[in-house]
Amino acid sequence: MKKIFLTLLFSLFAFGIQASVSDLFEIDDAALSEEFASLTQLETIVVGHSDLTFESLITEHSDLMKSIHLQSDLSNGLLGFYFEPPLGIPSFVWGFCLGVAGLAVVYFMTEDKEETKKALWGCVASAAISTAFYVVYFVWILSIP
Amino acid sequence: MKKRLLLSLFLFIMFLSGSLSAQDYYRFTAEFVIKEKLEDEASQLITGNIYFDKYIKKLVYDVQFPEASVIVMHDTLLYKIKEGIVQEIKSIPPLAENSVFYQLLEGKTKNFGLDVPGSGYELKQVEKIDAQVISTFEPVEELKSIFGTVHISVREGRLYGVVIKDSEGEILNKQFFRKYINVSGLQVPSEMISINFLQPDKTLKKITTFRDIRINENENDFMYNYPVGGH
Repeated sequence: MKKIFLTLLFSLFAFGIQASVSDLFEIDDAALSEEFASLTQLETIVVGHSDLTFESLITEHSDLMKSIHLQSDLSNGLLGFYFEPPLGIPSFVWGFCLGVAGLAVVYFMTEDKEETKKALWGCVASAAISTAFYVVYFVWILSIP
Repeated sequence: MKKRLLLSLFLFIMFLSGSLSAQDYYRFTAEFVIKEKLEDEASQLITGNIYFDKYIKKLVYDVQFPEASVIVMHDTLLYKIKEGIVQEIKSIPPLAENSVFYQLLEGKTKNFGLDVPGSGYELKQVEKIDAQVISTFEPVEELKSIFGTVHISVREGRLYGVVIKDSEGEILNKQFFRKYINVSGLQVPSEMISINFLQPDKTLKKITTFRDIRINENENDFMYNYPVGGH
């Protein structure tokens, strides 16, 4: 009886692990389609009309354009993508975990002011947390009779 | 007679498989549409044509919308060109030679290039779960404090998804490669979905679709080697 119970337990455990790994690759297509509905609508207008400009879209489809906050240049899109934080790790994390070294990594790899700023905030947050920790630690030490 | 026939058939099959595996896929071009959404804050629609030649190693985006321009990525530099004039030059990681297009043409997409020596990752586990084979790669010891686990899902022998985690095990990025089509014998995903987890409850989602995909085409030589920086 014990053996059966143990086998069942291990099977459930193994199944649980497998389910969690495969769950990582689940994607909600319906939600994604809904989220991108306005952009898809715009895509049907733009594709195949090489003469269409951003300005002409604003005048002809102002409601749609306002609702989706469409960017007029590439700085947040194609260029933005390629200025993702180094190695895909958020710049804040670089600054937070590696301090000035992390800041330098972000600065030299991206040469992007915004990303460097995020790394700086990570650095500041890390310093603030360390300071708070030491303050609490010393207060605790001093309070010991 | 029968032996000869069998031998001829065997040699024919050997020759055929040899010639098929020797197929050199070196150029990729397609019309692309990138739809990008940062929650309710901003969105982007970019359309145009992409050109990539694995020997030249320049990733060239001929953008039509939202602003007519050419984006060239070569080595560690990115050039933004408008009306033939370079407007911006920025430093980037060497993306062109590590791009999915390079992996695709090299036929190395299955493991997302992580099984190559020197990638910094080691294969730790392979599981078959339903219709997918999930490989788990861990960073080498020296990089464990910076990088996290990478899970790669392969369905029907083709790359389906990639999940990249940080060293704490939090998901940084998910990528899906779907709607494969056969172009000149090469399986090419016509849809790529990328989800970046920027902060808790804040994601940057991107859907890239390709149309009119052509492999090894020779009509646009100029675009594959778009002249930048004296190259």
